[in-house]
Amino acid sequence: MDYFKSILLEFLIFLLFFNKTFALYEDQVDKFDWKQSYIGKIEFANLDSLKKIIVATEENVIASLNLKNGQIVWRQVLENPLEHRIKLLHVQKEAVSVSGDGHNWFVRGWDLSSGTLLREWTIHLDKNMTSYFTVSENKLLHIAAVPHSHIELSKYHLLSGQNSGKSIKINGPWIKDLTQCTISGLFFACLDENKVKYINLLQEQKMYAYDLSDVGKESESMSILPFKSTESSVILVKNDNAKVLRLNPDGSFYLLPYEVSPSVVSATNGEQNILLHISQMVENNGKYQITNLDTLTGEEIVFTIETNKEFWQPNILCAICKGTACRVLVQTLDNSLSVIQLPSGKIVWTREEALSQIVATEFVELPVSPLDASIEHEFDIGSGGVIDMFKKRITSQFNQLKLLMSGSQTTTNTTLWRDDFGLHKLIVLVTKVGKLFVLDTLTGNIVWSKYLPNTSPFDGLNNQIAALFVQRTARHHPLSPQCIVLMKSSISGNGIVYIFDPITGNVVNVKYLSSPIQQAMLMPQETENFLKPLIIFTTEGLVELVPESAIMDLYSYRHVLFMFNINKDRKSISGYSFRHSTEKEAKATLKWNVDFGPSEVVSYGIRPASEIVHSQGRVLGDRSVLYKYVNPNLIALSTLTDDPLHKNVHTFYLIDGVSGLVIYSACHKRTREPIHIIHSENWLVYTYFNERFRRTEVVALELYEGSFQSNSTHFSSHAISQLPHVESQAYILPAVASAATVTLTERGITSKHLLFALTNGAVTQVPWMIMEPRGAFGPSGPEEGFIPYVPELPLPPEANINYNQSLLRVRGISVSPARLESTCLVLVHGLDLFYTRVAPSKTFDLLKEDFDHGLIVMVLVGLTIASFVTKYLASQKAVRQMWK
Amino acid sequence: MLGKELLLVPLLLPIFINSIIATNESNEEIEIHRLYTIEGKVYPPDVLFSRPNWQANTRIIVNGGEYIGFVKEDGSFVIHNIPSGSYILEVLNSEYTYEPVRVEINTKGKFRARKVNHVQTSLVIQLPYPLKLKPIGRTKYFQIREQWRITDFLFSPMVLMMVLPLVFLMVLPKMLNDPETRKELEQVQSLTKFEMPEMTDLVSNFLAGQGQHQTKKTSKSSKKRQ
Repeated sequence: MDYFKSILLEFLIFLLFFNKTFALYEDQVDKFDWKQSYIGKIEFANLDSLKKIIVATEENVIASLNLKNGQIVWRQVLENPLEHRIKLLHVQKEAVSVSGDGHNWFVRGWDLSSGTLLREWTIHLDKNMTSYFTVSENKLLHIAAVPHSHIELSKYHLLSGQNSGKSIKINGPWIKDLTQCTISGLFFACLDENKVKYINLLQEQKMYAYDLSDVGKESESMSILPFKSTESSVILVKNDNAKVLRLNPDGSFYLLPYEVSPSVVSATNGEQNILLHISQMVENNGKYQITNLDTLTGEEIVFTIETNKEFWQPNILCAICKGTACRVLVQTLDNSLSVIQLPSGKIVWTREEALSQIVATEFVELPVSPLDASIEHEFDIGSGGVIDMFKKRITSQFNQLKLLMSGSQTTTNTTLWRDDFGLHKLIVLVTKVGKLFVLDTLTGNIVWSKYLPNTSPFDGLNNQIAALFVQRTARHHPLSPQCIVLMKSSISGNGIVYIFDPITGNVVNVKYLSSPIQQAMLMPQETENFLKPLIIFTTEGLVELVPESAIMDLYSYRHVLFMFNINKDRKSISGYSFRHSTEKEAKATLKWNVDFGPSEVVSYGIRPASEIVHSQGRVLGDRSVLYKYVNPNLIALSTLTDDPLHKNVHTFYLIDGVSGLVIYSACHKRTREPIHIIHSENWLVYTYFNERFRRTEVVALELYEGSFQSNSTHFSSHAISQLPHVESQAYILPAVASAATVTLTERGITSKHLLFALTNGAVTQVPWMIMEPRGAFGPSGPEEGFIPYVPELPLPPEANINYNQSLLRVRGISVSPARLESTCLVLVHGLDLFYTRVAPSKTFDLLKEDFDHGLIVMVLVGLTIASFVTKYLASQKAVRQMWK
Repeated sequence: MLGKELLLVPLLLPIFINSIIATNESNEEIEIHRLYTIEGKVYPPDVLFSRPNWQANTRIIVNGGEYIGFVKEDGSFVIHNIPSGSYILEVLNSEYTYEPVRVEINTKGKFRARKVNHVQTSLVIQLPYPLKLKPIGRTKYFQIREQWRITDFLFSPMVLMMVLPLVFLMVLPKMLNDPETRKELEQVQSLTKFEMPEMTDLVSNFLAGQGQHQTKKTSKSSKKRQ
C-alpha cells in the first residue's frame, strides 16, 4: 500500500511540476524566443549550377546554403571538431566529404538537395600520418606522406569504398617540409630548393621539377597552395603576389604570365576560362576590387566592391559566372561570409559566422528613454528655484501626455530604450576570432559589431574564454555605460584591454599591456563616477588598474579585497590579498595556496556576483528556523586524478576564497568528464559521468549554518565558529549535459530552475525543488514542502525551453534577470544561438496572457448601469407605495 | 544490494589486480585493432504521413555524441569505428521520440542490445540486434491551451456576480407576486409539511439537548477548579 502511495505521489508531483508549470503553449512559439543557426568558418566551398552552395567548415559541418539569401538549406553536423577535421569536399552528382582524426577517416556521400546520407565507409590507418585526399574519376586517392622518405598511395572506389589493389609506395626523398607540399588534381607538388617538384599520382610516378630560377624567382618566403580548376594547377605565393602554375598530365608545365593576388579562383564562363581575384586598391580609400581575368587573352575587367562596412582581408572561396554576371563567395578575416554580385559589385547577403564560436557573453541594460530621463532630472540638485522645477514638471508631463496620445509607446521596441519590465536588453558577445557583437534581445538583430584584429581568447580550464566585464550599467543616466573586454594578442600573447560603450559601440580606450594576463576581476565597490575599477593581475605578478586613477579606491578597500587564481599548469589554486597596497601602487600578495598535486583541475563554480539571497533561512515544520550558510567567498572546484585501480577519481572541493579553508570535499571513483558545477545561494549541483554504472550522475549539496546565525548582518570568512552542515543527495540524469546553469532573478524570490543543455539538442529545466537534498539533519517530509526522492530526474519534453528547435554543440548558457521578478532571460550559445525567457514560478507578477480586458470592462459597465437602473426602479416603487 | 557488493570487493580485489596486469599488454594491441560497427534501422512513424525529408533530420548519437551516425534513405544506419564496450544509442528527431537502447559489444565482437535502465543497471531486457528502432510517439513539447467555452463565461465569478443579484432582485419578487406561483409554493410547502417532521423543532431540540450536556460539563469542571 505504501509503495502504491509513493508511486501515486510521484505521479502527482510529476503532473504538478511538469504538465502545469512550465510548458509553453504552441502559439507562444517565436513570440519571445529566437534561434540563429551557424556553420562556422568555411574551409571548402563549392558553387554548383543548382543555385546552391555546398560548404564544409572548420566546425566539422557540411551544409548547403541558398545562393540567393544565404539561408541554410540543410546542415549536417559531423564529429567533434577538436579531434576530427574535414579534409576533402568533392561535389559532383553528390557531395563527398572526407573527415577524420588522423587514424580513422570517414568518407560520406550526401544528397545535394536534401542532405540525406547516401553512403558511408571508412579508411583505417595504423599510424597517424599526414594524409591528403583527392578524387579522380570515381576513385578516391589517399596519400600518406612520410617526409624525407616516401609517399603511400592507396586507391578506393568512391561509391563502394572498395580498395582497388595494394597501396603503392612512391619514393620521395625530396619531400621535406610538408607545409610546403600540396595536392592538386592528380599532382602532388612540393616546394624545394628553388624548384617545384611534383609527381603525377596515376601515371608512371616520376618526379618532375620546375625550376623557379628560370623565371627569376626565389623560393624563399614563398608558399605553395592548391588551386581548384578544371586543370591541375598550384598557386605560388610570394609577398602577397601570386602566380598560377598549370601542371599538364604529361608532366609539362605552364606558368600563367599574369600577376594575381593570392586570393584567386578560377571560374568557367561558357568556353572561356577566367580567373577572379580580389585585391585592395591603393587609391580610393583602400576599397577592394575584384578583377576578372581572361586566361587566354589576358583581358582584365575590374569591379569595385560597393560596401560601407569594414572589409577585413577578403578571400574568394569560389565563383560562378554567366556572361558578364558573376556571383562570388567571399570570406573575410572576421569569418563573415558574403556573396558579391558582379558587375554591380554589390553585396547580396552576409552571414556572420564568427557567432558560431562565442567565448564570452554579457547582458547589458539599456538606458532610459529621454523622456524618463527628463523626469529623473527634475530633482537634480543643481536645478534652480520653485518656478523652474514647476516648469520642468509641466513640460515633462506634457511630453508624457503627447507620447501617450500619439501611441508611440509601442515603437520603443525598435529603439534602444529600456522598457518597463527590463525584457529589452542588449547582449554583448565576444567571439573566438576577436569580433565583438551586440545583439538586441527582442529581435536577435546585430546592433553593431567590431572586429579586433590580431586578438585571441585565453585558454580556460577546458575551453577558450575571453573576459568581459560591465564596468558601469546604464542606470547612471548622463554617464554612458561602459564595458571591458580582455583578450590576448595573438602575436605576443600580451593582454589587450578594450574599453567601449556597449550601446553605441564607441571605443573609450584601448590599452596594450606589456605582459600576459593571469587573472582579472571587477572591484565590487564603485568609484565616484559609478565605475567599477578592474583589477588585472599579470603573469609577472603585477597589478594594473583600469582606470588607473582608481588606486585610491583600492587603497581604501585593501583590507577587504581578495582574489583567487586557478593555475592549470601548476594544478593549484591560490588566494591573494591586496593588504600591502600603498597609495601609489597596487600590490597582490599570496595569502594561501592549495596544491592538488597530480590531479587536474577540470571545473570550478562561483556564485553569480549579482545574485541576491532573498531569505536567510528556512522555516521548518516545528516553527524553528534553519539558517542558510551563504558564503559569498565560496569557490567550488572539481579535480580529476588518474588512479590505477579506480580509473579516474573525481574530487569535489568547497574552498573559502578568503582564507583558503577547505570547507568540504567529496570523492567519486571511476568517473569521467564532462563535469559541470552550478553554484547558487547556499547550494551546489555538480554532474559527472559514472563509469561503473555508465550513467551521468548529479549531486546536489546544501549548506546550512544550523538553528543559530553567527552574524546576521555581515558574513566573515575569518570568523569561523563551526563548519556548515552539508546535506547531499545524488540523482541520475538520463542524458549527457554539455552545459549547465541556474536561473537568476532580480530579487531572488522566485524559485530556481536548473538549466541543462543536453547533447541530444534539448535545453531542459529541472526545478531545484525536486533536487533539494533531504537528510537526517535537514528538513524532510511532505509537511515541509518536500518532494519524495526519485533517483532518476524526469526530463519530459515539455520542460525543454527550446521545444523542437534542437541546439547542437552547446558551449554555454548565460542568464540575466529581467526587471520583472518572475522572469529570467536565457541565451544558449554553441553552433546555434538561442534566446528565450523563462519564468520558474510562472509569471506571477504579470496578468495572464489571455486575460480578458473586455470582460472586466463589460462587467463594470454592466454593474454600474444595473445599479442606476435598480436605483430608479427602487425610487419608483417607493413612490408607488407611498401613494397606496 | 549495495552492501553486498561492498562485501565482495575486498575478496575480488587481488584477483582483479592480477588479471589487470596480465591482460594489460595484450589488451592494448587488441583494442587498437578491433573496431566494430553498430548497425540498425530507424522506422519512420508512418511511411505515408512522415515528412519527405525525415532521414536528413534524424541523427543517431552514441554515448551523448561520442560517435554519431546518419540515417540513409531507407532508414538504415551504420556507426563505424566503435571499440568494444557498452554504449547508449539514441535516435534524435525533433518530431518523434525514440527509446534509447544500450548496445554492448564484448571483446570477442559479440553484440547485445538491451533496454536502458539507469536505476537497475544490471537488469537485462534484451532487444533484437541489428537494431530496429520504432518511435514511441509524437513528442509533445507544448501545453494545450484551454478552449473558450460559453459555460466558462457564464460560470465565471464576475458574470455570476452580475447575474445572480439581478435574478434575486428582479425575478424573485415578481414570482412571489404572481398568484399562481404563490399557490404552487404553498402547495409545495404543505406537501413537505406532511412528509417531513418539523425541521426547526428537531434542530432546536437537538441543540437544547447538547446545550444541557455542555452546561453540565462546564459546571463539573468549574467545580473542580474551585
